[in-house]
Amino acid sequence: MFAAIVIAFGIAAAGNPSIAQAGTYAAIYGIAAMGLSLLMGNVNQISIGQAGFFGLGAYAVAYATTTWTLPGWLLWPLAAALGVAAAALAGIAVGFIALRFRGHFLAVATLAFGLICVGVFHEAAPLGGAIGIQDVPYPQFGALTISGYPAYWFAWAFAGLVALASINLLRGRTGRAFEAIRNDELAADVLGIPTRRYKILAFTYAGALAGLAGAIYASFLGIVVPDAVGVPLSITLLLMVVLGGNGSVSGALIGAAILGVIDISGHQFENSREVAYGVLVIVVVIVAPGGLFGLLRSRVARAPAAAAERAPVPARPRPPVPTGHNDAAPLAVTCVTKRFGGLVAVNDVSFTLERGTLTSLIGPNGAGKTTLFNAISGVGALTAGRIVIAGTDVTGLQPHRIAALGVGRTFQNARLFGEMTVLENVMAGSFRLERTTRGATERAHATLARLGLEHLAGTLARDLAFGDRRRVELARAIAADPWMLLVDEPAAGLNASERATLQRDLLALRDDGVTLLLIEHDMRLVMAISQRVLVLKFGALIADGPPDAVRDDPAVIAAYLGTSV
Amino acid sequence: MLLDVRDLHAGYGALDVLRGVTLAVDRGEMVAVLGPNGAGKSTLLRAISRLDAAIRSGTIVFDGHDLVRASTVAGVRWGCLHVPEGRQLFSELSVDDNLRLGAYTVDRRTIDADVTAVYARFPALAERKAQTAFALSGGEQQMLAIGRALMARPKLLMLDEPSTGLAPQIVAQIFAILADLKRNGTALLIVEQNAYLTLQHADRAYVLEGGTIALAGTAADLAADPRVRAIYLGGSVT
Repeated sequence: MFAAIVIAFGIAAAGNPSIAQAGTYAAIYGIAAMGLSLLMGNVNQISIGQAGFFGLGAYAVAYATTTWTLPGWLLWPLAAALGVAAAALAGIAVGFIALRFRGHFLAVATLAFGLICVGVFHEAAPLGGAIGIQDVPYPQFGALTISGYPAYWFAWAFAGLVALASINLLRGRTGRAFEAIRNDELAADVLGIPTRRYKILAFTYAGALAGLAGAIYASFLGIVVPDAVGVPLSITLLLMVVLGGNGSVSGALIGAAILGVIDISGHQFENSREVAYGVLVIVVVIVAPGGLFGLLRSRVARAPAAAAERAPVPARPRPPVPTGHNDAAPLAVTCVTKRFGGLVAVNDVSFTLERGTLTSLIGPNGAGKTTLFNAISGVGALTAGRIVIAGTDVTGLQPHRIAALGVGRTFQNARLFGEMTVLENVMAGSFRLERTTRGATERAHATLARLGLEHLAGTLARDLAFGDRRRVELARAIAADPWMLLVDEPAAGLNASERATLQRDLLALRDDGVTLLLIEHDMRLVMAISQRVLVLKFGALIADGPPDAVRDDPAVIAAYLGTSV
Repeated sequence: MLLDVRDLHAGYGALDVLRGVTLAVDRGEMVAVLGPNGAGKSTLLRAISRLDAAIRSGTIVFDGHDLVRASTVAGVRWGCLHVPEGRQLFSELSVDDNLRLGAYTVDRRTIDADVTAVYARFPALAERKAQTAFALSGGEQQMLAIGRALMARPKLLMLDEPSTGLAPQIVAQIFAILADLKRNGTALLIVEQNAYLTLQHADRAYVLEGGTIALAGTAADLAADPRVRAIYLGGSVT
């Protein structure tokens, strides 16, 4: 539909240079906005420095086309490739920076990147300093000069390709990873999704697109000056994304089209334009947080998609649980200590689990149980000690690497991906095993069927009842067939019948050969299903043994009930 | 009864925590609420003081007022004070300012006299009145939290885990202060992990399990009841 509008607009603008020009700007900004929209809306990373990448692309084309002597058909493509490459490299660099910053710190860091770029353009003599580079030639392909009206089609051809590439990227495995990261980075990481790599990828992609937009811009306008690629452009791109609808290709194009047209047709209102932008954005954020495209989309029923998802898929026979790499113990924790400032959360803890057993880790509030879980699953660095999983030293490894060994984990507060359906949540769980969407869908259906949760497949995770939330999280954790599972307080908040179901599910996993380590406060459940109980108090292991012995241990009784003296 | 809670159901979002709790505190009584982690002890206090726990059904009547329909501030004005878990002091402000902020709901003319009275009760705080709350030891911080609540002239003081992180002799000191408050007519509702010690000081106690009252009785009876231990550590209750 969008393509039809573009074509119709192009034909209508044939006789009107200023309208065609506005349309061309819409395409140029649209390319950059699609990149930023993916970054912000799909990966939840902000950037107020996109004009920096745009400038890299623009200056690369301006510099190369004015200094290189090459045949026309080769000149612009090579120059543009240089610009996109420069912007992509800068995107990788900013991506690494983004791994260290979040939220408004990231916003400030990207703003600084944009400012640095403008500063460099301003000061660099080969780039013309404050006057910039003039007389940038139009792209020339044989007899065809890309200027004026042809530039409209030229720019929209690129915008169309970028739109297709973006849609394709978001529909596949990468899109699933982005969606999981956007919803909950930590949960995505422990499911085996390399979140760092994908965040850098998103910054690189957004940077490259801004660079491409800049490359087209430079040769279309014929002049590049530092002030044109400064902070105001970054803000305008941001506005396009917010206005059109964050996280959708169409939204970014709608936003770019509206602002592109206002930009050109509103030239005589130069000063009031910025005010109008500000008012527009405030109104959009309040009235339609999903942007204009969000408004359109909310009127279109999503029911058919949900129905398609529920099409019956034959449940696959359950594959045997892989037993890890060798005969080594599934988990060996040696002298592990974790400090937060002056607080010793885990103090010199050592234990080894046996394959296929269910062990519970208990202790009063603040004993360090979840901290120990985090240590085992790679969340946060250890202060001291060593963790070996099935013979592999995992000390200091990132969570997704530990997940890749076949270790699953759930969280105390069930960190589901709230904006995704139950099916999509469980699909994300099998990320490390299933490369295709089809494979992931089938496996997710099979996993849901195994736990009797098929009827919830199309429900958004945030709409689930509390007990179902826990079970869906368990389904997500076992979707990748882990041979070891760390379960953090699965019974918290469950009623009696839900607890009975949980007990059955956990025992079924153990009987399938999965090694289980369980944090739980429900002592009846712990005593009923554990073969071994470990007790932590103030970070130290104070008891270790079968349930009956631990229950009668005076140190454990004192830890739980206090002493009367 | 000063505080009368009947068939209270409460929780957070989709999570139900309290599933029908009935409990009462009379004037001048010290009542303990015990139970394992996750039983709903803190949620009970947060519901009574109308903080973030959403009340689904049931009644809470305090001194003749309906608390279910009241705001937190109204409860404080009527004399129902909550000393939350982890003290929650204004850590950057001085001891003196922390105390004065506790008197937000009372007549200003009495504040100076009340501050003096709190310092008389807690001489350790008087020595440090100009220091920030952050600089105090754990025991002093707990005293300040109690002192700040006293500034609102409570009829009922609800304390959430006052002994957490304190050395045994400091805990004994805190319980001595609470016993003294009780003698002066303040009712106390105390949530504690340290069950055996709390049962030595309380008049009566309730043991919560899974959001319902599993056991209730005099502190002396419960201290001798093996079912209390079974609730904390699993095993058969009967």
